[in-house]
Amino acid sequence: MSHQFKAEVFQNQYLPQGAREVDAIMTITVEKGDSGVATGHNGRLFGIICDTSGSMGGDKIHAAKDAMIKIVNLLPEDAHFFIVTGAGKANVVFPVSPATTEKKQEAIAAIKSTLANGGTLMSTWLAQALTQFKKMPSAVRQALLLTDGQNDDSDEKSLKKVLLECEGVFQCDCRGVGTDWRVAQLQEIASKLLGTTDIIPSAAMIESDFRAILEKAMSKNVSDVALRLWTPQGAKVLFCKQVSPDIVDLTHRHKPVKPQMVDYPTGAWGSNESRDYHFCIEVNPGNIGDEMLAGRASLVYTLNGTETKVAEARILATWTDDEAKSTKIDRRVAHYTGQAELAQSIQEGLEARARNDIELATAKLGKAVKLAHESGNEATAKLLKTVVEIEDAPTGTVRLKREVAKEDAMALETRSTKTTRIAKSPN
Amino acid sequence: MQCICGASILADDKFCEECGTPLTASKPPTAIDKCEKCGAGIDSEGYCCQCGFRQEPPVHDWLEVIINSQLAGVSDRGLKHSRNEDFLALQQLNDSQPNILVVCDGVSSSEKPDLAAKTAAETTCLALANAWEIGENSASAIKSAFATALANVCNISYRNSGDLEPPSTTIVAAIVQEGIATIGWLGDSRAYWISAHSHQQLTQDDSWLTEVVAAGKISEAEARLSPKAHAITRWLGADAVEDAVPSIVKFTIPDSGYLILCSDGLWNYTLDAAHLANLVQRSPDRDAIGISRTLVEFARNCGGHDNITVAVLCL
Repeated sequence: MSHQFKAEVFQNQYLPQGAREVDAIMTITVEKGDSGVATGHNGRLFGIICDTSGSMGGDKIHAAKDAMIKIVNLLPEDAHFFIVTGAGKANVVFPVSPATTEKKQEAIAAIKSTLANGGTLMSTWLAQALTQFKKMPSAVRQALLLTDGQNDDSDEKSLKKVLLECEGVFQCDCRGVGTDWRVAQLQEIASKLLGTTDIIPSAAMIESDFRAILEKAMSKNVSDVALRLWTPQGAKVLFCKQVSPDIVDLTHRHKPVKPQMVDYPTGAWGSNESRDYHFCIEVNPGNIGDEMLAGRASLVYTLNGTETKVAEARILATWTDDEAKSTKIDRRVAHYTGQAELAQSIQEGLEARARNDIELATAKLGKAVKLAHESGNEATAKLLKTVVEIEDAPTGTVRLKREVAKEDAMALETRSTKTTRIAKSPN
Repeated sequence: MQCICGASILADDKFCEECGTPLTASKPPTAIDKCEKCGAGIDSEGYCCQCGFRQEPPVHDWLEVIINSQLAGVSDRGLKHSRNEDFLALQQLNDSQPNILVVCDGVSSSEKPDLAAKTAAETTCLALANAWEIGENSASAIKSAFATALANVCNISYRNSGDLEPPSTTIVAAIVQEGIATIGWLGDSRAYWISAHSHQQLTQDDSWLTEVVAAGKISEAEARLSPKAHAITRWLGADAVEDAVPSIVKFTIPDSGYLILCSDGLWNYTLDAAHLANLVQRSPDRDAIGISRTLVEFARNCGGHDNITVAVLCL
């Protein structure tokens, strides 16, 4: 199969004299096509990691078991899968196997006999999953972790350690059922493993969510893609973030390749996928009239140890004394700067609300309402309405709601990093 | 030592500080293979592999066109702009004549102004040559050539980012045969006649400045200081199709001298036609390319704030 990766940079390359910061948005799109780079993978491996600690008892474990059975049935025959359940320790309910009819039946039987009891040590679950994923190192490797509770505090160190080992070996989406889990905890796992975090407010909703996750996972077919960035000597990357479809800060995730060149992980890509990245690079300023290559960003994917460059784009800087040119801010840079500010305002607003700092919470969430309104981020605007009464969206005039369902606050917190894309043209 | 203007000069002066005349034969800048800033190698795209600074001037940073000793021109990026958005095209149809000169200055506030200028200059030059061969008269040849150029400029694909206009350019074109120069233009690129006995500007800019000066509202010197001094009222571009009606003048060449077409990157630094005539008379080289280079160097020496393009026909 062949996939066409396209990289496009949007920026205002003109800087006033002495300026050092270069901002650019890079849009990467993948299209299936006859031309382009031949890509391939040696199968797909999907891992299910399910919490079976004591707190999962009752409705939750029933719903989770039903959902796992549905997922197993939905797996395409050419995929591989495994199931790990976890409580105080992990249990490989079903090891890596092809998704044949026969194996699916065996797995379903194993799921049915699962019981919920014990504590919560997520590091052990991930360590077991890691062992399974290592069996198919060339496959597209993705997992789903479902939990309803908090990880035991004693596990913090072990979790950090095992996350380091898992990084780059598999990707993992995390889902929390109910409202007893901690957003920051799952976000730490998901962001390290290039996955998403979300809330499933009630057990009945597990199935439809699982279906969506599996569908997305099965659409991925180019694995282990890195965003490679060359910068000039003396330059410093102030940040590198994925900004669409959601915000993922990759700044501190770089791995040096050689001097002046680093790789940021982007995980697996599917057909017809499109993402935006925001780079902010500090360079040594040039003289008026100088043009500089402030960065060369490329996408590199690795299959069976061979690296292939699939797309490349240039980030430029030109120093000018023409203020009409240097004062212009690129529309996309402005848009995503606003989206990052929106996410941050929500985080700070919710934190202030949790501390009972009503004044700050009102100010921050009001600002978020204003930013969501301005940028047309309707999904986030809708979530904000569950937490504040909006008096006037354009000015961000809001009142905090007295009664807020915990699940609504958690949904806002987990989904605040979802961004909206800028319209292609203002016309 | 003394400059021809009478000012005293030093042996290693490159320019006369008084009148700006170049004192050394000027040469186009040459490509380099090592970074000027850090000495590292240059990649295939012209950027330094180490510090990232661009080295090799882009293709049209300095463009010289030499048809013969009578007909030549230079287009230069200047010192302040990051690229050259001017272009020129020259042609002599056969040994005896006619001569065709076209100078275009891409509008900076439009998308792909460099491509607009190049497209307009090349299309116009070719269309004029074709029109001439089928016997069209010079004024209608210019009109139809501009129409063809406009169509091609409108066909330039560009990314509509919303805050820039579609590709646009000024244009001045001249056909010269049997002692008559027919000149057409849109915008503020100019044509001048310079000889030992007379000198004059042959075109009237389509610009805010010309309009207010013509209306007698303020003097040219005052108008030049206005931020609107460079606002043009006509140009070649998709957003001005209705207004793209060129002004055309016919000029009978009185004696031997020089027909000069130029962009505002040059005339901005001249006080008037007499000043330009002065610069031409002082040029160390008398052929068309020599005079073109002299005038470009003069503008660079004055600050080179804009792209500079000069085309010269010696008659």
